[in-house]
Amino acid sequence: MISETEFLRAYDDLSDALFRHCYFRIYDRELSKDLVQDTFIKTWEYIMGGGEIDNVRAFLYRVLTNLIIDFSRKRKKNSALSLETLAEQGFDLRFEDNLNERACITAEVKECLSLFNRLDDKDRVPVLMRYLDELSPKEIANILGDNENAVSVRIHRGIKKVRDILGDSKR
Amino acid sequence: MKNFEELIKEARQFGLGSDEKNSLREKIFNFVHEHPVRKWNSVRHIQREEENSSQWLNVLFPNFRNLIPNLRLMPIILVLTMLLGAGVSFGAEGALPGDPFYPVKVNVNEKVVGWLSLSQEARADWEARLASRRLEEAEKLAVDGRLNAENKNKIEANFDAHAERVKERVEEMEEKRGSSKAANVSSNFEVSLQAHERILARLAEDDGEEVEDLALSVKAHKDAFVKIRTKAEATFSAEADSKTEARAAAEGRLKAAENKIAEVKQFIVKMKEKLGEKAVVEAETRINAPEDLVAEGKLKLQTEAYGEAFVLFQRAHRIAQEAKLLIEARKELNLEVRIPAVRFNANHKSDAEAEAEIEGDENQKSGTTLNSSAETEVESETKVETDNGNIEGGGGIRLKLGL
Repeated sequence: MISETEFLRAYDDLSDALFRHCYFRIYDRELSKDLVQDTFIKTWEYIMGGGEIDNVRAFLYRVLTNLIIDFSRKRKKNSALSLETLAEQGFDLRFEDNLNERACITAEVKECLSLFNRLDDKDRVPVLMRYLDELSPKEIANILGDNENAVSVRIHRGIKKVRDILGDSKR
Repeated sequence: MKNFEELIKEARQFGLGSDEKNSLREKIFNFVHEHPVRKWNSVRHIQREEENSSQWLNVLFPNFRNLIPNLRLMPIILVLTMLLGAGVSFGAEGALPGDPFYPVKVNVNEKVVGWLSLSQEARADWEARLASRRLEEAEKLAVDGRLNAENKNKIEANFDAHAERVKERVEEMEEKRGSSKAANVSSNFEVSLQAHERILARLAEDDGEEVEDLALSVKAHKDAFVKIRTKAEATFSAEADSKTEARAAAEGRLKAAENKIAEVKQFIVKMKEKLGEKAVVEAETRINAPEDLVAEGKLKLQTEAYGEAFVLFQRAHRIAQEAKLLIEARKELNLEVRIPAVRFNANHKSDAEAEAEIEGDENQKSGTTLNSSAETEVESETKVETDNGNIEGGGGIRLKLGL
């Protein structure tokens, strides 16, 4: 049973990472804050209902991932244009819009965002989790509900693409 | 052109601004406090009121209290009523081995309460309670002169089984970093065993072999649990890797100790008639030691010595609890049990060591295998590892325990 103190401590320790992860997926600061808040609230509701949590970090990521998926589905439904099609062409409408609104994003961060954005959706999430969040492949598999091998393959593929892209621009 | 590693490193700096983080935290904090997890402690208050208004139940079923020594289990009785139909089940509560309804008591009532205990700690406490019930039965039989080899062996076997289960549960809790719970459970059980040991020793003076056998058995378990409890307390102090955790546990134990002391005082008042002047004075004196320990513990809290505070509150709780159990024995068995005065020892020797001093009892001394050094230093370091194997953060706790 997680106490209030432990729960709030989890917030202190993990909210930054969760926010960052979320932002790197939906490119919207305010929405990311909302989703992180919802993540913690839903987790507390689970605890209130008597739920036991073995790994708080993994649990929070799982809740957050599901919220992001829900959000993305809604977004796709609502938009006239298919963002997916645009993304395939290497251009994310939302991405560019929101990026311009915050001057405090450094050039490096912007470059990172653009890099990851060019990965396949399926690859991006595991890569983010591995390199940005520093979760283990086992934890990632746990969170995403996939098997460890599939996760490793995707991470590998994603990272290779990233390095290729970086290598390309060197020329 | 930067490489990937460098970029990623920069990216990890990105995050919430401190304003953003704090305002978000506030929202979550408010939500958490508007939706607290229902803890057993807060349920206690409601139950104290219920208890007063349901005195009639105590008249009809005088052994009611035995099934629910922990007020937290009170709601379960209501469930039992619905499930089993009051009469037979409650009537069975007073049954002793050999009585017709004894199987109902053991196989129905006790099992139902067991199923309904949810947390690990509650289950462990329940096993301890069951162990205690077996000993109470033996004591009642002994007072009536009905304790023979046959039923004594049965009782002892059951008692052993329950005591072993308590041990297992406590070990589980310690492994899963629940060492403050482990300390609580083992402390409570230790007290119960101590009280029973005294009662059985007293009964053995009149009644002989069977009782003495049982008394020795209980003593053996008690000695084991003194060790377990001490170890759990040490683990707790070493393990609590955040001050908030340690503080919360210490404050929890303070509350428990204060509640117990208040409970005992009330109990003494209630029992005034039955006890007689002398016993009342004795009992009231006995409460002084726990109160002193609580005061000292509070000072420790102020200086943030949470491990030491926890140990002090534990001890206060134990002494108060023992006082109550012995008064209860007086009431139930009409037995005068000699209680050695508790000397409040500033060196904080263990209860057993302090009493050994007073009783000058060699047997007691040899029974305790605790460290004779008065202080133990416990040092531990907490490390935070990322899965890359890099150590990102660290902290240290150093506590001196006077055991």
